[in-house]
Amino acid sequence: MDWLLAFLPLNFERTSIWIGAICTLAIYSILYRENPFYRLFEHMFVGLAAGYALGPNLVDVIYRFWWEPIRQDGIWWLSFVVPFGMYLYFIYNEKYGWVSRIVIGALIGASAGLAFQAFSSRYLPQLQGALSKVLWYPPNSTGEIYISTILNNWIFVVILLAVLTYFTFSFEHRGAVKRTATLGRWLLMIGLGAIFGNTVMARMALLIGRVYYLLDSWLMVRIGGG
Amino acid sequence: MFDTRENIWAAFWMIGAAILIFALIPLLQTLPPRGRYLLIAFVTFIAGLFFAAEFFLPVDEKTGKNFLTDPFQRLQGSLQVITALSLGLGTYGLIRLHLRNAVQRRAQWGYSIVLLVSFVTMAFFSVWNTLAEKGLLGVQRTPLLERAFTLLFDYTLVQLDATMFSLIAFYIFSAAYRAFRIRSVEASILMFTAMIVMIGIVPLGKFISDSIGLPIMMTDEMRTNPFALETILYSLRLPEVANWILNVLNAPVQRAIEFGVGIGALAMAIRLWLSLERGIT
Repeated sequence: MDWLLAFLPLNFERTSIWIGAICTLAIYSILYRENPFYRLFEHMFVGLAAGYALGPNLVDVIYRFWWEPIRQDGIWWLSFVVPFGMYLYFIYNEKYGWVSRIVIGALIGASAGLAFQAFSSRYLPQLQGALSKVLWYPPNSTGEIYISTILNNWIFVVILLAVLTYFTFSFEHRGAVKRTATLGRWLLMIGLGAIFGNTVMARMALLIGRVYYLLDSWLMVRIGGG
Repeated sequence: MFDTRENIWAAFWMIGAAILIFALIPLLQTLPPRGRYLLIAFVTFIAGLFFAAEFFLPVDEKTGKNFLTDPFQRLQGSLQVITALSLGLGTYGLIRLHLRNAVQRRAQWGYSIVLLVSFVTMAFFSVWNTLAEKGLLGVQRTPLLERAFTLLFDYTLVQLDATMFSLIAFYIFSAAYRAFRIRSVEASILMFTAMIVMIGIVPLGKFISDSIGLPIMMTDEMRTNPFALETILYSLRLPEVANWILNVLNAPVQRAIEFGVGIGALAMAIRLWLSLERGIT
């Protein structure tokens, strides 16, 4: 009887947990088949997600990056940003729709400029890091570099070059290049297998989280050592 | 809101800028199609040039900045503002579609009503919550806001979101079945690696390794002698193998993929920057 009283949604906290459990069960009902219960909560999810985004993404961003700099720092030219961004909303108008492309062009141009930055600041140091790995025992070795590290570094470089060879499409793969590219493809499969395994386990962790919520929070079946 | 001199000036600038920007539209409308194309290409080029130039121009040794650094930081914020406005555009499209569904009573219009009600309710409390958090417009936190936002966000949206993503766990098994059918050398390698990683990174890997009596600890002596039997046996522990696959075999593969993506993105960025991609007319 005590368990039942504690289980039923008789206060705000339990009602909230019940709502969470109903949401969880409604989404999982798709595993049986498409049904109105699932579709109802699916639409609710889309509506809630779109509604929530307005607070932090629209109000907060506009306040922090537009209103505050104009008001506090007096950066007056920023006042043109939002009206300029509003050109985007002409996209639904047949006559003035092209005006929105000016803003889209600015966004694309800025993204392209940032891509140059990203390549220089992200990929070039990575390339340098990959090609400056210790491959031999230094003559004045202090013993801090283990032979296993050297072996692993060799494996790293060989795999990197083999996979890059596989990704080279500028010329036909023949002879030694073809064999290297084939090795690269196999090694790529190892990488993809590792990514797949990791992804599966990450999703399993999410599933375990939901099952734990249903059992522990909703049904109050205490599990685990906590 | 408009109680200080700064606020009044800010509002003045905003209204002035809005009038000016919208007054430009009839003028822009007089441009011929070729002129419109050139204007869009010019804006794209200047935006790309600015963001690239800021990075490549030499900086002052004392300040670590060049003359574009400060405007760059402001414009990065502005990019976020425009991106946020584009989010509003997406929301507008979604709401317009479902409003039409509801008004014209198209098939399954009831779901559109659910979506609209959810959207309006959450938007109201989300904006209210953000305003209260920042202390804007004199908005205060109230018990109603606390309870409603907790219920809508923590116990509905977060739960739906987590469940929606955990659904993939079920579908990934059917994907795994298709991927793991051994039909070629590549599929076999993929399956074997994925199995080792999946078992190795959970306690089952440790349990199996312990059960068959593999060494539990790596000592300093083992570290200096990688060819000793103890070291080899320790390296065969499933968690160690999984870690080695992830750090030594997977890392260069991912880096090679990233280089490929990076070079592709660079080539695409140049094409977009110079408006060589088709579609801008």
